[in-house]
Amino acid sequence: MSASKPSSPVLPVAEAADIDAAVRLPVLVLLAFAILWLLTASALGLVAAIKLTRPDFLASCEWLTFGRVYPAALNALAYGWGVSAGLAVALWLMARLSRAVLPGGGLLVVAAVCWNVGVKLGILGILAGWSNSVPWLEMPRQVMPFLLVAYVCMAAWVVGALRAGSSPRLYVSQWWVLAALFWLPWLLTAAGAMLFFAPVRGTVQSVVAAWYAHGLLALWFAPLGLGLVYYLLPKLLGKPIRAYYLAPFGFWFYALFSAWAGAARLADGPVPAWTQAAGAIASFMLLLPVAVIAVNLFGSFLGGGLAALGRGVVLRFAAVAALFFVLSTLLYVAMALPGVAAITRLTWFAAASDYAVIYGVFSFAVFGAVYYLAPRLVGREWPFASLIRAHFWLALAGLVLAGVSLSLGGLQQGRELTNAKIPFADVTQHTLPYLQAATLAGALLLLGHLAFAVNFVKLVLCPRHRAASAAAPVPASLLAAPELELEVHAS
Amino acid sequence: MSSIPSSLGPRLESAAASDDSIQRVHAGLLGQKPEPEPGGYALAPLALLGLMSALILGCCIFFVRNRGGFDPLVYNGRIDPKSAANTSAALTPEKIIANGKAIYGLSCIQCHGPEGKGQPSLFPPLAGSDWANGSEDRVIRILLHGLKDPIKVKTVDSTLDFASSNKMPSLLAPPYGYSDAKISFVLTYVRQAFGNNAPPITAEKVTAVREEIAAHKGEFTQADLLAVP
Ligand code: HEC
Repeated sequence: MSASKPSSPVLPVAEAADIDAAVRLPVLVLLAFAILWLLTASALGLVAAIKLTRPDFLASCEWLTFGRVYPAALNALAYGWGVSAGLAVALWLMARLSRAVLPGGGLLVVAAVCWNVGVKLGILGILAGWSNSVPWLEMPRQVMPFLLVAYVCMAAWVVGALRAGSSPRLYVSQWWVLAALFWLPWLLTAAGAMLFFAPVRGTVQSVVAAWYAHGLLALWFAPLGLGLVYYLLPKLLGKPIRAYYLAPFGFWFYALFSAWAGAARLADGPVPAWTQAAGAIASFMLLLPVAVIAVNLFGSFLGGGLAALGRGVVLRFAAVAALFFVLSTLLYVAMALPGVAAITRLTWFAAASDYAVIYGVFSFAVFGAVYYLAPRLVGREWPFASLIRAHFWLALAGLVLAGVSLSLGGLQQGRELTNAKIPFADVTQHTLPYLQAATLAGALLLLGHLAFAVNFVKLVLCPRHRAASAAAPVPASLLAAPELELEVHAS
Repeated sequence: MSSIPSSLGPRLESAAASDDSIQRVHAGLLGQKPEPEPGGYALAPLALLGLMSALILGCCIFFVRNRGGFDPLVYNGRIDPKSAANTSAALTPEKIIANGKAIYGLSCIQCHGPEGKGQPSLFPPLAGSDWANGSEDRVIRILLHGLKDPIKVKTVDSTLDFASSNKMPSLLAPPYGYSDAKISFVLTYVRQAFGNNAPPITAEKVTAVREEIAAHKGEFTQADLLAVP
């Protein structure tokens, strides 16, 4: 197909080829780790989901009891997949937008290996029964300093790209990515210190734990996803972000309120009422940045953009991520209302909105970005177009099915738990169909990830594919990018 | 933008804008004032300002109503600790006993004595008394309307045929005029002090008995009391 495409006479050189070449090795290594972790996490998650409905499944193996597999799956997803993939795309995006040709990616690869060894030890620790009882921080505390050092080495590289780059301007994606890079170590050190190394006492512990859990999702995963979407939309649509002058406003308000919103997770819980109320109003105020971000992102689709959704898979991934960002924040706002919290807390509903962030926002944005950037890094096309489409539809189906079944199941569970007339065993029994649907969703996701992994491995590793393909390396003209023209919105 | 360039297909998606131009165009947009609508105002910033004001107002109201008095021990924001302290629901058993003891010291001690032993042939004992420790309905009646004429008082180690012209005064009548809650406090105290060990009496129970005997005039006698369970 590439042979039939006429080359553009205006810009015959591949865009940013030297920049891409400099980050090729570290980005591909990080992505390879990330995809391995994604498969691990989805497999562990599937085992955990099956165990919820069929407790006798793999029951004889101590390492695979539910209390270990479930946190292992979550941590593999968050730190194995999430942080590795997040850093990979952040590095690429930062290098490109700062126009920095990074020297010496070798050190970065060492740090990436260290990080992944650390996560591996942590996950094994959880499976061996040494986990902590703090959600999203179950990895044994001994690996945490190690992880932190590895993380700082990697993130410093990305920040260095910004300083070394020759671009005179900052784009909104860079704010989001940069902020996320600083927020994660802040969250990790503060929560690690206050929960494990110099534990605070009493209810403050649960406040810190809630702050961390919310921060990980709202200050690491969501901002990275947003940064990518803000980049991919103009990149593929060829249109500027709508009402861009509001974008800084959205960023600062989000940063201001998200850090506080975590306390809303404790609504109706055992912490002082004013803490819950403060968390709730911080969540309500999030409506403001979400409105801005929604105008920015969805506004870009106005006027012909929707048709482009039908053509490009990357754009579709980005659009789903934007949609789920708005959706998940609305869910958090709803759950901060005391009346709603009384029903949803401690149910699957709360879990559903967390998955919406980590999967719907972050992972979808990363998938889209990888489908765009990987062929440019390698200099070859993706081997299987059908697997890309299969990945998108399987992931979307899995995401929607899991989200719908867990939130409906959670609502029913919550309503029945607050009704003293219904025995607890019956409540559990009634959630079973929803959990079965969620298990099916897990299987769909795993299939989608397999399609992604096969494509990626073939793209990167298999030289035979290169020889067999009609056109050897992609001609540079196809990798060129036209100029974005300034367009006045009101006209 | 003239047209969105057609994609090369999912195997290699084409860019529609270069990084450099994305940054240049958006840097220009950042400084650009929003275009006014036909009415003369830009709608988006105004709408945003309205949303912001509404949110801040709503959040302030929410916070004031749910702050729980900034009390670190109040976990339910809808309870105001100050008003909650006055209702008996907020009373701990210790507070009830302390209240009861204070009332006893004011109103009972002069007749029934600091140890609840009474005074031989003048005032009957409360320590170990089967009346004080027995039926709630009877002892509440005694306090509400008083008691006269001879009675038989059984204590732990003896039985006393008490006969004196002294009467037990009604605590509803002046100078006492006690509320149901106060009567329940002092009775709970009497039933748990002086070596007594009977269950507490609630204000609700006192109210119920008072309403039941509203038609009764004057002090009760032993015969009246034995007629109720
Ligand atoms: C003015 C003196 C006086 C005061 C004050 C007084 N009582 Fe009595 N009380 C009596 C007398 C006299 C009797 C016995 C009446 C009878 O023989 O019919 C009695 C009988 C009783 C009895 C039943 C008999 C027994 O020994 O159990 C109880 C119970 C009792 N009083 C409780 C109290 C309590 C509680 C208070 C304080 C709120 C109180 N009284 C205040 C004089 C008093």
